[in-house]
Amino acid sequence: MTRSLYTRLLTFALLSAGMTVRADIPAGEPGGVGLAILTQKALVVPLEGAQVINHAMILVREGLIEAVGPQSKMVVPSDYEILDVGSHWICPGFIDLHCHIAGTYGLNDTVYQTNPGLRISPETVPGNPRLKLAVAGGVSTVLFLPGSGSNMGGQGVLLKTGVDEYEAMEIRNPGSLKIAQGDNPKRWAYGMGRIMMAWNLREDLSRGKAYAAKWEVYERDGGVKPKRDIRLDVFRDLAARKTQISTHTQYYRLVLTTIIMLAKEFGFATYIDHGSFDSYLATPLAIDAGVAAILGPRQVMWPRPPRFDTDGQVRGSAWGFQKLGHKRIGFNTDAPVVPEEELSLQAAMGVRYGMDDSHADGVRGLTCIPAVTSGLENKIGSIEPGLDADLLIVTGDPVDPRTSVEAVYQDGRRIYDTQTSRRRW
Amino acid sequence: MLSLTVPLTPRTRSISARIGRLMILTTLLMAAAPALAAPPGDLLAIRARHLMTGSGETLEHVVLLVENGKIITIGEDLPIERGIPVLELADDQWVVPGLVNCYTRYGMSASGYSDLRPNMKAVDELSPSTRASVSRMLRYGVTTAGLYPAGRGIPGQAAVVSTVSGSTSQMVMREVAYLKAIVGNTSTGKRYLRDGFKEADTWLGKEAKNREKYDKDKEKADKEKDKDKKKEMLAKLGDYKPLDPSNKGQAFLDMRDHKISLLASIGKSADYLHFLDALGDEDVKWDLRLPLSSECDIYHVKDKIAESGARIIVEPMITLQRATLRQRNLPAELHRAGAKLVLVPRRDSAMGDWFRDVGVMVGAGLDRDAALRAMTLEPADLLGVADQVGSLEVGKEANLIVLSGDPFEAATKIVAVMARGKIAHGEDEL
Amino acid sequence: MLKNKKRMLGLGALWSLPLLLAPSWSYAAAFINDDKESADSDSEEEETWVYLAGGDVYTGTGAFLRGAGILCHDDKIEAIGFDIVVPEDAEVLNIEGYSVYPGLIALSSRGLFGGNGNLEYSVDPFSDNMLLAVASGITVAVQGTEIGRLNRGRIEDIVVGKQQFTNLSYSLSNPGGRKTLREKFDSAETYLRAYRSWEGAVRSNKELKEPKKTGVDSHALAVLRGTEKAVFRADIQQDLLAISRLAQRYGFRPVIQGCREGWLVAAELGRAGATAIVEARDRRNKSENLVRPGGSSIENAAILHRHGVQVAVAPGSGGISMGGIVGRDIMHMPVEAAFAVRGGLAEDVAIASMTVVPARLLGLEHRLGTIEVGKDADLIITDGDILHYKTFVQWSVIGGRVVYDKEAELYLAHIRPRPVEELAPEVPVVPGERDEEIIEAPKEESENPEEAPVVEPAPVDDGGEGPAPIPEEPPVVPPVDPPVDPPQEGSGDG
Repeated sequence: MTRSLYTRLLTFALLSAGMTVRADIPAGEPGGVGLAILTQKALVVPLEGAQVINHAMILVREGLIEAVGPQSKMVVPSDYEILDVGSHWICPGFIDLHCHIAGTYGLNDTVYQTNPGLRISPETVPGNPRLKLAVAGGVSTVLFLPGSGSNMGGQGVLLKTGVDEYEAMEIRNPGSLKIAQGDNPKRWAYGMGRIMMAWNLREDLSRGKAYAAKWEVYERDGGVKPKRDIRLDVFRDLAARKTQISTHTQYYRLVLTTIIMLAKEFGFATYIDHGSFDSYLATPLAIDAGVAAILGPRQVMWPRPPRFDTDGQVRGSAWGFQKLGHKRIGFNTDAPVVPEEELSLQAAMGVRYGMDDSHADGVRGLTCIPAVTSGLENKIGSIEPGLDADLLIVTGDPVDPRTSVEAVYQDGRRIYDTQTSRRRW
Repeated sequence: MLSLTVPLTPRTRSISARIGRLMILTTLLMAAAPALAAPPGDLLAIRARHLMTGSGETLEHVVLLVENGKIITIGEDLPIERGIPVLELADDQWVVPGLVNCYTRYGMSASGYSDLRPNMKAVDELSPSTRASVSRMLRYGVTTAGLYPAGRGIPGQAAVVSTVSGSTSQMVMREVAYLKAIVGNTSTGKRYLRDGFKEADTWLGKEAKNREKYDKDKEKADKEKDKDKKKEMLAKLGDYKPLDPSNKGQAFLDMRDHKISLLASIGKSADYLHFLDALGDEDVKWDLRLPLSSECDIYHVKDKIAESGARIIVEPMITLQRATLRQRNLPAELHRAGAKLVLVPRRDSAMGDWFRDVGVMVGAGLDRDAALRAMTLEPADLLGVADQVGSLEVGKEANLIVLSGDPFEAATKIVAVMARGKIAHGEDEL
Repeated sequence: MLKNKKRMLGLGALWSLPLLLAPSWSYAAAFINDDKESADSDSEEEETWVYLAGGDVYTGTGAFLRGAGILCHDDKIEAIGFDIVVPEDAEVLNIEGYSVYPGLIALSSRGLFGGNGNLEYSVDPFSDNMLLAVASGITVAVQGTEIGRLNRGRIEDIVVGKQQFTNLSYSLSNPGGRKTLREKFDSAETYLRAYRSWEGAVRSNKELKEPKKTGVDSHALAVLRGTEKAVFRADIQQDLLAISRLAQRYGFRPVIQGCREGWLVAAELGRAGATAIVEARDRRNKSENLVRPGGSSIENAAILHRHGVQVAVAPGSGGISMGGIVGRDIMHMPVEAAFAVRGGLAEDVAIASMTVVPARLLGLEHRLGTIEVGKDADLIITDGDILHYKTFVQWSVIGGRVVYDKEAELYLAHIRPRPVEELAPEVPVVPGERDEEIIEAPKEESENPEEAPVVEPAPVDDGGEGPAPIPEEPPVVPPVDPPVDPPQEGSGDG
């Protein structure tokens, strides 16, 4: 167990020891009694280990998962409320690392060609109709991102979808630094080519890295306080690996640039956000550099020789990455390109077009993989003790489009319930 | 007489007989009149190390006798009688028949229409200047050409010409060989074909009625009792005058009578099926022309084409399997399936590159003899002049090309071209 | 022969005569005289027999036959079931372990037939678009007004008929249009009534003149007669209600495209006998200035069906998308149907929404839509439940010919290729023996029940392999007497 997880559990245990329970607060929520959920199948999807527990019991308290295991090996604590979902399954809430629908469409404030200081968080519109639909589709956490109109669009923010106040939504700001290396940034101003874009990126990355180093030295050793530059602040988080670079990148040679420049040369945590067409060819280098692949909205590459020669095959992106050995494959929607609530369909299509799912890879691509990719593996993405109780009650395989989401828990709170309100999706 | 290495085919037997006779005659003449030692006419002998006949044989150490523009003898290791001028070719030089380009508009400049005009004829475009332009094909080895009319839809009837320069009567071998029709994946192609046959049917109907009327009138006249009146009526009636065929119907009637053939331009397998559907039950002789696109899918119907016995004109071009970079040699595939292959120069290359382009196909697996036949005898057959040109055989026109090497090697060039017995190009080289 | 068909169509005017005289016919789509067609094909070509052996047949009629055979004769289904006598020269396709469904019917499509324009002249049966459509399970598609069969490799038997839809508009936002339409129906109704009474009276009184048809809208008349179907494009509930009432007033069954808010007025639509062509993933919020509920609902198809409305599912796009975003075009019809299932539609109804209901709409239910003897042999053979996202079409039989084999085409062959081995187990099971007997045998030797090995039916939580894959059957061994220790004297521990 990692140190932060241990700390959380300890805090939680201490808090709950001194806290009084109120009867009017629903079970599972902070201040309420504990909740024991009994289910035929729990897709616990930890990063390693068994992905499924049959006939499982999940204990939720104070908004966190307290324990999970087979019913035969666990006992319901005395004052816990029991929720038996019968033949429904439980899985973690989905995480989409490429979302543009959590607010307005002011995505591309492309003032300069690189804008690392811009933050999209002011754009957030909590509880907007699209987010409500997203919740009904099982998406409980999104990375709300700037667009790809410039090489660095700004800082994205990690948000929970189901609450109506911004403060409760925000998980981490900056959720990521958005870098775009595709063809979209070429549109900026007078139009430019790849040489200029790469140069400009490296300029800013170098400056940022130097800025971060200065601050690090100051914090460690004291001395003259460096001048604050809010444009470069994000690099302090990047250097400390508190946040990641989400890179809009596709095509093999472009992904190579991403990995080599961002991960190897500058040493930042980064991941591929799109990874379409023949990006999968960069898998060996990606594995070596620890770069995950979050794939979408395109899930397949059609043959288009001579540029994309697949020898006549329709090749799934997920298939490609997995075939070459990648273990960290996730899915996104780039909502609204694909509607946010169809995130599970993206996983279904990835599996359909060749990704082997014998280790629940489809569900993992919606949950624990995006979680670990964005540094939130100790908070969301799996059903493990100490993590947030972000759970979905689903009628079957969550990746199957036929499966519907019956209820959604976020931080132990039931924020969507088809039995008490109209089914949204 | 002949060396034992020559196989005794009926042809060589007749050659042998002919040579025998010639030698006896010459001996007698020489014996009888020593003064008549000079040989008759413009006899020319050509001795070559390698020769491809165009009909599938490759001969070594060949002697060719040409008189009055025709081949009178051809065989391996023949002794040449003293007195006959001999053209000795170098050991590395090859002789092949003059090429037949059965589908070209080289040298012609008129533009056409895009509808149903089957009675337009390419032969009408031959003015002195176009004849001179057309003759320039000779330098590329083309000694016979099928000239088609300009335009789309059904633009008209093609002519067969010898590319030797001269008057129209000297050049034109056949006024009409085939009717060109473009049957693509559009409704107009199919419709024009059907309309054409309908026109023919309509005219036949009118003609039948006309004939009927004449017969009735004749009957009436015959029945007339008054001898003078009868004479007057018969005189007035005269002989039966058939109707002038409408402009649109005649070519289709000629096709039904097998006087001319139909050349259908298709683009892909679907077009072939649509063409057969448009043709229906009509009994006409037809061939196909397939301008190759980079991803042509004709391989779906190659067996059907082979079964039909029709000839198919293609360009020597490597194509790709759709959506891949896998290469296909469609001419070779068609030939292997049993179809009669005809090759024409590529649309996007110069005519001078024809040998080179076909050489690439041979290198990629096309049978050599089939390749040469596709440039010579098969197109001659398509044009209906295979009895006169297309291969190096006795009785045919002495049209041949001297090449600096194997015809399908990359470095080979045309050294000289002989048409109708006369060196038309490259005289200095020899 | 297509030439004959043209002549048939040309005699179209004569076709209306029997229809005039027999107004009791409901929808007779003016499809080609198919009796003549099959007679022609029989006389011209040899008979072809194709036998599909051992598949799990989903007939669409309610019968589901496991391991059954289907015999196709020329382009029709000759027999379905077990112990079928198969002609010697039949082409046999072994489909053990695979499922057979009726071919899917696309009510609206674009570009699937390769060419553009009239199907008879421009179809390209070798085109990639047709191949991809067939690979997605579609066997019949409507392009424009023509109904075509995706008969790969042939140009005959492509045109199945013309869809007899007449597009009408009846919206609350256009009161003038509504009035005009009602007047058209009124005059048509009056004419029909007059005609029927004339029909009866003219037998006794030959002098009576036939009622005049001037001023009667031909489409309205055809709708009332049932020879054409009235198709409305409507989404908001007031319009849907209005259409239902119009239909009930004049006695016809409307077809409604879109039908977004149908779930709110489903009962009325059901009473009108409507058929709805819905896009399950339609997303539109209700108009903000309305207080009552509105907008789209994922449960639309399910609620409509519950109230007796026939539902056909149409994906958002009628063409094939090669941009790389998958799941939303005509190649993914089952995905659209799966979303309707998400909203509560029963699975067999969802399958019907892609097969029988479109067939019925096109007036071709006697030939298409289910697997029944005598119907067209348009079948798709899949490697699983057609509504599952992993399922692919492995073979497609159209018009009685196997026109598609997934392994033979480059596009999809590399995805989960068919296993090389036989699907039957390698070790034969001796009849009468079961696993438990063998495993229980050592139990008798051991006094301690906990030591007896027990086979878990599902993977356990320790180091399991993910969501319940089908458990490996332990290899079945023929019973062998287990080597036993001679029973000890005294205590009985094994």
